[in-house]
Amino acid sequence: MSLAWTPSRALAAHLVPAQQIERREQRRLTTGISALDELLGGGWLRGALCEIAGSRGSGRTSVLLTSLATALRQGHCAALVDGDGALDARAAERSGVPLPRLLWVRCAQAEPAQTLAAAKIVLGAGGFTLVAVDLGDRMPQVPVASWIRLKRAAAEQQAILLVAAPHRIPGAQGTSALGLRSLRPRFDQGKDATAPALLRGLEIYAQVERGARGPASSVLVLSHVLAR
Amino acid sequence: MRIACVYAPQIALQAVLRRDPELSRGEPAGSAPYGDFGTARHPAHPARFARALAGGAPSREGLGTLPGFPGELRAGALALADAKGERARIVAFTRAAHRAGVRVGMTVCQARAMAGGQGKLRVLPASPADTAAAQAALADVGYCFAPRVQHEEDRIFFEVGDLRRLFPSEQALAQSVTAQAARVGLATRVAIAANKGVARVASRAQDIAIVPVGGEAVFLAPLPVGMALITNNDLAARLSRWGIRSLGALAHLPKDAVVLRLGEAGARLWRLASGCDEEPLAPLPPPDAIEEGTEIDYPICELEPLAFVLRSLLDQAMTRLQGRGLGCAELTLRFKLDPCGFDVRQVPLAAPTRETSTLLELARLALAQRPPSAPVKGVALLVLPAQVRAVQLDLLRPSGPAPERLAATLARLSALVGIENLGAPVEANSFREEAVAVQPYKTRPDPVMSEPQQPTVEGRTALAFRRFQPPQELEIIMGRQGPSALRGKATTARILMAAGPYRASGEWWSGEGFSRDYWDVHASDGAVYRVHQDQQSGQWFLDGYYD
Repeated sequence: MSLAWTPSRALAAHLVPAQQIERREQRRLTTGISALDELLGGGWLRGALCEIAGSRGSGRTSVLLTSLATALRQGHCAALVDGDGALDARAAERSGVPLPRLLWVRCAQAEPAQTLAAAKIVLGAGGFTLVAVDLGDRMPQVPVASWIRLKRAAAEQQAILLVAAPHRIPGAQGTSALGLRSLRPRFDQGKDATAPALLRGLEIYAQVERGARGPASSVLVLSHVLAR
Repeated sequence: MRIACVYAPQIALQAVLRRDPELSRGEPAGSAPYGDFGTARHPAHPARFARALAGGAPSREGLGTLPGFPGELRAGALALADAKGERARIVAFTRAAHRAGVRVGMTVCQARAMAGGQGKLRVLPASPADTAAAQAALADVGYCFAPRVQHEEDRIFFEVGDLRRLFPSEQALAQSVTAQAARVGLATRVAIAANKGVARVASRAQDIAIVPVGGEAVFLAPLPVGMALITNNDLAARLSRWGIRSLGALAHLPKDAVVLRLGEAGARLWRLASGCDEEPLAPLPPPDAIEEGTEIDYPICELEPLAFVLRSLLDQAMTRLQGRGLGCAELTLRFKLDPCGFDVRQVPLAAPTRETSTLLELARLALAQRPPSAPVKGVALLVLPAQVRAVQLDLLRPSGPAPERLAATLARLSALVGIENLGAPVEANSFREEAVAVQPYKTRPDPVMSEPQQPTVEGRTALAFRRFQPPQELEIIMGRQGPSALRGKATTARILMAAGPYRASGEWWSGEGFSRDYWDVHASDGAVYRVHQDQQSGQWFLDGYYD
């Protein structure tokens, strides 16, 4: 009597070797927001240059901090290269970022070259799974060669280079790009009309503009909540 | 017990050549026999070099029968004087200078006349700082191999002990010591023997001398008596008059007769010639800091030439640290100013590192921020060594950057953005919302993190806030329901919705109190800003926006 088991043809079509599952999980790092993970096919791709593009109030900082929080909570090393010095420590802590484990590089404002140089140094160290680069509100003129070098450094170290900017700056060099847009804020007046209103959150619109599944594959509305 | 002796011949001369390697890159002054040694660019084969040494170079006054070292041979006619000026006295010189007739005690003017003119002999002032650095570097060579080392002026001693377990033979150990010394810029000779006296004499006799146990007398027998006598020239002269020229001949004399005629010094010499020496080893632990320094011929006013000098010093210091497996934890620069005075400054380091380029960048930044107040005529740097802390990796968590690489990265980043802008963010001990501090970054500050916190609750994520540093001044038009329009550097917009005010005050007890009314305002440009009005001045400020 043979103990070998042969799955049916219908079942075999859905079976995936265990090694491939493990490899697939290792290649992606979750954003910490399940809806975004679905959009991106499991999260940010390791060894790639990923973008978050959105203007003021679009929620790009929230997505950035949540991704950092998730990576750090999973035991990875992560760094934030802050091109604007705009990090609010209290807000980052509310987003779940374990502050003592975050490497924060605060660069001089209006010097994108310094920001990119710092990112390259951090990537060169190796061991950092997520290197987030916040370019602030400006639209710096960055040579394409700089992005190519950074992308190559990220690929060598199997790190995620996550760039947040008002618009897509790396352009064709980015492996995946998430576009964000503000829809409307939510204010809560409460029962007492004389009491001051409270900001409850923002509704934002997220769209994958570039990725393995192709551009504009899905649209999603996220609701942010202000933790007070 | 086996003792190793590492001897650096003519350390004052080596110190000068070590500081300025260009000096030893010239062609030899004469064609024979020094032409056999080749040049720095085209060195001769080692065996050829050894043959040339064994062939017997001419002995010279004040230097015994030492054959010199490659750097000296390539430096050509070079002499060291005890001071600057034509009337200074010659204290050391190369073999080529000796062949030209230069001797110890001559004035610089006399030495140049003997050599045949101004261009035939290069005379440099001996630098005590360079010599001290070379002596310290020699001691560091010993500390690369042993925890405790006895150092004398131009040689060091340490116990071989268990090193024989790490090296296949004593010959291999001696070769390794020579190689390490070469890395710090010193040409050395190494001897391993049963006691200090024999090791000292053996180190003067051969490049690498391994004296077998029990074979000391046999090894010493053919060596001239002068090799065992460094300072007592009278004793050497008396023995020479008696016809005793080798240590073997001395050892064959009756001990009592030698003691009767030559006293205690003779008895000590006789015991040494017989292979016995009771001089104890007195080793010391390594110093707390590494020091490198040099004197500059002409005062330097500009940053670039000063950085050039600093690079050379840092290179030497880092090579010494590397041999001991340490990193630079603190760097202190001390400049000797012209005409008098010192400028001492500390270069802040984020983490221990051995990267010269990083340290140089940090030093340049420190100098650019506050240049020395006068021209610099001497530079010294003090390096505080530290062990790069080993990190126990976790089986269940991803490995982070290697500690040493991380340290170098932090140092490079601090050179780029400043040490105050690098680290882990931490809430400052303040009631002000915008207060933030930076603490040193560590990859794993706590052994086990708490259970993963879920920032996502029912598909909702905590709203982040971007802060303008510092808050921007703002003009606000107030309406009946609160702010109705804002105008500032960052934006100008109508206010569609305003939530507030939320009053915050504090720190009145420190004399720098604040009282503010905060508003969250939805502007017509789509963003939600946070603004506040200072209750004391009435001025409005834009703190940032929700993002």
